[in-house]
Amino acid sequence: MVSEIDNIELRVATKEDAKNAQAEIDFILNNNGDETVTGLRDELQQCMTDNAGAFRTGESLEIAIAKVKELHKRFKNIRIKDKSKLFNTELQEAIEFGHMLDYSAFIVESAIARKESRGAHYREDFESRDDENFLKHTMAYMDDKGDIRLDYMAVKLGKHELKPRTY
Amino acid sequence: MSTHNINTQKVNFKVFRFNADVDYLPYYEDYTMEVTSEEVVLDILNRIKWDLDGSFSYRRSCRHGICGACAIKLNGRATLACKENMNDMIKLFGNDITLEPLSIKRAVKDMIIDKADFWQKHDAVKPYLISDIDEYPEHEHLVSPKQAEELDDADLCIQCGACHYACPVVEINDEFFGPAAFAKAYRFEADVRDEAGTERLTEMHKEAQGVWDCVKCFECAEACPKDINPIGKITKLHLMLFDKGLATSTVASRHAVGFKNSIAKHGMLDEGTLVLYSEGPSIIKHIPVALQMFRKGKIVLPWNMPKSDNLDEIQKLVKSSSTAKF
Amino acid sequence: MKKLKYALFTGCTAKQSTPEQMMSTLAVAKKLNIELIELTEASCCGASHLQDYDDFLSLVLNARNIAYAEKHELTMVTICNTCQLNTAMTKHRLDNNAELKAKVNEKLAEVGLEYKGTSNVIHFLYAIIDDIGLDKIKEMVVTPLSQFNIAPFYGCHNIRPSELQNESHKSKENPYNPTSLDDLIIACGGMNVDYTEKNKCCGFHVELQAPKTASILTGNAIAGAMDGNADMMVTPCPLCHLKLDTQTKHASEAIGREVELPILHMQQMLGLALGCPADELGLKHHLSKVNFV
Repeated sequence: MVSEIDNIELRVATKEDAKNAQAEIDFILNNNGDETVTGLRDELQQCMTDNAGAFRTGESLEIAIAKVKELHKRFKNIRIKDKSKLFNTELQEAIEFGHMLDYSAFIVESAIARKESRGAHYREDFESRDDENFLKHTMAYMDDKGDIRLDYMAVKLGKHELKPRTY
Repeated sequence: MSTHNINTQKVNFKVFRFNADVDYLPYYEDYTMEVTSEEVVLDILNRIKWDLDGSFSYRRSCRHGICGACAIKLNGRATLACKENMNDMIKLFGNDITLEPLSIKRAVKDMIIDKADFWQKHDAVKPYLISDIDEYPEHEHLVSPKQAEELDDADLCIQCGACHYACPVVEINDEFFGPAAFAKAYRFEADVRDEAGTERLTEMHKEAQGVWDCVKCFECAEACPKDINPIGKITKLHLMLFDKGLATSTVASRHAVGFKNSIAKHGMLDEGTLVLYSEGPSIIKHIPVALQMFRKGKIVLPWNMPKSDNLDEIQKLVKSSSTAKF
Repeated sequence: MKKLKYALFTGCTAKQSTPEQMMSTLAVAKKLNIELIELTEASCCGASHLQDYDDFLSLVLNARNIAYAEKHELTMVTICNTCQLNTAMTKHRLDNNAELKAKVNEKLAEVGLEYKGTSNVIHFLYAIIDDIGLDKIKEMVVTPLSQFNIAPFYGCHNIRPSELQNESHKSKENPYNPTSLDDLIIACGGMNVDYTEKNKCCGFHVELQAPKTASILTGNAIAGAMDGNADMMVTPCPLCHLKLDTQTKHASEAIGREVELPILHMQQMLGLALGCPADELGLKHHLSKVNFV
C-alpha cells in the first residue's frame, strides 16, 4: 500500500491552477445573485440523504443527479454577505459547498453505473453482488464542463478469498 | 413513536460583533429566536450564521466536546458551545442571553479571538514528556494504573482556553502562565516517565509567572468543560515545590509556611507576625495602613494575641502530622 | 420560632482584624434567636495557604475543628468564606475517602479526638437562609434599608467550586448568577445592585506576593459597584471585607481612579435592618467611611 502511494505522480502546479483557485474565490466574493449557500447546501444534503443514501435505486439516483445538476446551475447565482479577508468562514463554507457539489456528482454517477449491491452501496433494484461485472474500483474524472467520465481499475485481492457474504 | 416532547421558547440573544479589519469598535447585534430544548449553544451560533447573517464568525470543528475550538462566553460564563444545552443556560440566566468571545480584548472577529498568549504560555511550560529514551527499547515502559491516576485527569485538557480566559490574573498580569498551562505542567510533572522534574518545576516558582500569583478564586475549576480542576493542579504544584526543595524563601513561600508557624504557636493565625515573617524588611510598606487599622481597633498587640483552647492538642498534631519541610 | 443552635467557627480575623464581624454576628444571632456555641478550641483553617505547604496537616487540623462541632452534635457555621472553603473541602475529602479519613483519625486519636463526618459545615449566610428563610427574615425587619442601593459582593470561596459549596446548603447557588446575597439585600428592604464584579475575586490571597494584581482586583470591584450607583457594598467574607475596606488607597492607585464605598459585613447589614444598635455592629472599626448611620 505504502509503496503505491509513493508511486503516485503528482502534477506540478501551474500558474493556471493558481488563477483558477483565485477565480473561484473571486467569483464567490463578488457574485451578486440571490441564492444562499446555506439554502443550497440544505437542499443538497436533503436530496443526497433521501436518494443516495445506503439504500438507493436507479430511479432515486436519477432524481439525485438531476438535483445535483440543478444545484450546480444555481450555485452560479449565489451571494455571500461577508466580503472580508479576515477569518471569512462564509467564504470557506461556499468553497466547500462547491466541492461538495462536485463530489456528490462523482458519488451519484458512479452509483448509477454500478448495477449491483456491494457493502454500503445497496441497490434495491440490484440486490446481489456481481463480481463478474463489478469487482473493480470506479475511477471518475470531471472535465471542464463538469461532465463526468467513468473508468475502472482492477482490484488487487490479496489474502482474502472471494466469496458471498451470507451473514 | 417516542412521546418525548420538544419544547421551544423565545430567547433574546445579544451577540458581540466585531471585525478587526473594518470596525473601530465592537457592537452588539440582537437576534430573537425560538430555541428548542434539544439545542446546544453551538446550534445557536450555526443558526445565526446560516439563517440570519452569513458574516457571523466563530470557531468550530468537532461538535463533540473534544477539539476545544468553540469555547465562548455566555453571559460571562466560559462555555464550550457544543457541550452546553440551551435549556440549562436558559434555566441559569433566563431568556436574555449575551454571547461574547472568551476575551473581548483579544477579539479578532465576532467570537474568534487571538489565542497567541494562550499558546505561548502552553509552550513555555515544556508541554511534552522529557525523557532519555532508548531508541531501540526491548520492552514497553510500563506505567501502572496507580501511577497513571497521579495525573488526576490533567491529560484530558482540550486546550479550549475556557479556564485561561476566565482567570482574573491572566487578564491583569501578562506574565502569568495561567491555569491551563499549569494543568499541563502538572500533567508532565506527575508523569513517572518524565525526567524534566526540576527544570520545569523551577519555572513554576518564579514570581509573576508562576503558581504563587494564583488568587485562588476557583474560576478555572468552574470554567473547565472537562472537569480537570486546574486549581487542584496548581495546589499540587505548590506542594511539589516544597517537596522537592525548590520553594526558595520568598514572600510567597514564607506566607504559606508562616501559617504553620503561627498555628503551632497560637492555634490561630497571628496576622501581624505572619505579615512580618512573609515580608521581612518590606513590612515597612504596610505601616501606613497598619497604623490606620490600629487606630480602628483592627490590630491585636502581641501580648493580647488570642490563643486556641487546648493548644497542646494542636501543637502535638502539628508535630506528629507535619511532613513538609522548608 | 424554635431556637436554632449552631457551633460557631469564628476563624482568625473575627478575633483580630475584623472585630466588627464577630460583634455583628453575635448581635444578629441574638435578634434571630440563634444560640451560637463558640468553638474556642478551633485552630486556623490554613486559609488555603497552609494547604499549599502541608496538605495533610491542614486536613488534620480542620478535621479536629469539625470534630469539636461533632462533639456538640451541632452543625458548624462559619463566618468567613475561606474558612468555609477549607473546612468543607476537608469534610468532602474525608467523607469520600475512607483511607484518608482513617489516616487523619489515627492522628486525631493521639489527642483523644475522632472525625466522624456527622456535622454539616455551612456559612452563616446560607444557614439563616436555609433554616430561617428569607420570608421570615423579611418579617423581622424593623428598619428597612429602602433608601439604599446595596452592591452584593459574594466572595469566591462561598460560591466556587460550586459542586462543593452546594453540598452544604439547600438553597442552591450558581456561581455565574448567585442570588443569595441579592435576596438578603431585598429582604432587608434594600435595592440590590447588579454589576459584573459581584461574583469576582477581591485579590486578598495574593495581597503580599502580588500586590498589584490584588489592588487591581479590589479596585475593579469597588469601581464596578460605584458605577452601578451603589451606596455601599456588602459581603459575607471578612477577607473580602479587609480588602475592600482597608486597601482603597492602593486600589485607587492601581486602577487610576479614586474608589471608596462603605463596606458592610453581611451581618452588619442584616443587623441594621433588624434594628440592632450601631455600636453593637462595630461600625466604628471600619477604615472606609460608614457615613450613613
